Amino acid sequence: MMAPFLKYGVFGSETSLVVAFLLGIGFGFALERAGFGSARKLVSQFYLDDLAVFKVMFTAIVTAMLGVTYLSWIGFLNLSLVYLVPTNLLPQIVGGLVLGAGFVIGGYCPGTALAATATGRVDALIYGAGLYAGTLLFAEAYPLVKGLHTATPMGQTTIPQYFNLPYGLVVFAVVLMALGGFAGAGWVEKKMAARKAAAQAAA
Amino acid sequence: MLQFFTTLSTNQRLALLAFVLGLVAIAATPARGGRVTVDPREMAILMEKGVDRVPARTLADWIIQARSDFRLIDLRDPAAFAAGLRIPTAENVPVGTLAQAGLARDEKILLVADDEARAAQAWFLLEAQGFKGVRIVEGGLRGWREQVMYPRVDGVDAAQRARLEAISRHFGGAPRSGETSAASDTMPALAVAQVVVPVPPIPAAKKGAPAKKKEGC
Repeated sequence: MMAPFLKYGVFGSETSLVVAFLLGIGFGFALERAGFGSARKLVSQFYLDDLAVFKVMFTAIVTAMLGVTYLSWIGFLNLSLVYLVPTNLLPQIVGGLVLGAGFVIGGYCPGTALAATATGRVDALIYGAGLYAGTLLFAEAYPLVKGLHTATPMGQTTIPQYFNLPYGLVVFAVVLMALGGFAGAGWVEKKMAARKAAAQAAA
Repeated sequence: MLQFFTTLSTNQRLALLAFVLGLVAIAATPARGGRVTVDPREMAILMEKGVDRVPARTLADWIIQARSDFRLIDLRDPAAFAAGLRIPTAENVPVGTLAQAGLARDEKILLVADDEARAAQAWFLLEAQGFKGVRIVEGGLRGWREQVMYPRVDGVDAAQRARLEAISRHFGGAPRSGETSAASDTMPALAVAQVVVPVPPIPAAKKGAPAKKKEGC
């Protein structure tokens, strides 16, 4: 959204920071309103009580994917201009596990921690401090972890390219995966609610 | 059909919509690469703002810092590249082979040739194909020689002088001051071509290294 304004010099990089700030506030507001400013809500997905985070994230993925697919299909968006984070398989798996462990232990992920800090939650404040401490530690220890960080480079890879599948087929497969995931999540939630009710009745 | 639709909850309707859109998308052939429209207004703004160029001394700093977030492309033909002055870390890609050089549209690409004109032509070719981070090295190789390897140091303060001297020595040159240039206003022009320039190790990773980090949630 910002790109054309920045490109045509309607506003400069300073103003774009203000716009980024406003977008960030909007994002934080959406997270908070969805209940994601509470560690209880976030970790309850790991106890399988409430899979809202999973559903929201997968909905966002499907919505963005379909939007990008159709916009590029009608020629409005050139996919080769979209920045792709290069794939480094091993370090990204390790990073994902570290982030996931932090999510389970701390009860937040980075964005939700900031949103929750803004509403005055002390646990999120501490989580945020840990986040920045970890970033600083990584930066200072970079020479030690550089080997891992740059291991298994695969360049800018996408699933259709890597498996040589038609782009549209992968889109459809992801949609099916999401719908299956939503149905499964609903089923699990019901099951856990029933179990909880039974446990309460027994007690 | 309509009756069936009205019995669905909002979630189920949205799920159905996603399913239909996904089904139709099987036939999708997304626009990827190929032609990009040239936007003269955008290009003019890039030129006016000067973001289409990088001063030779800035490039020198980047090389000394061993930064790996850019690719330096030397556009001369291979014979001239092999025989002449080379900037450390430069890759030789003659203009005719730019399309096959495996450059990515989101990379920072610095172009250098004998003078700015050839680099500017290549800049236009790449910009017209939608490359976003293309810059020209100011003054080309001549600028590199005059600004970095053999900079004039008359009339600059001591700190700046020391800095220029350090940079020029790093690249195997020497600063010029009033006396030497009065005696001979010749920088050792092409003779310097043979100077062996200490090449800082090119960090291994064009591909995976310090790319921008983007957080998810």
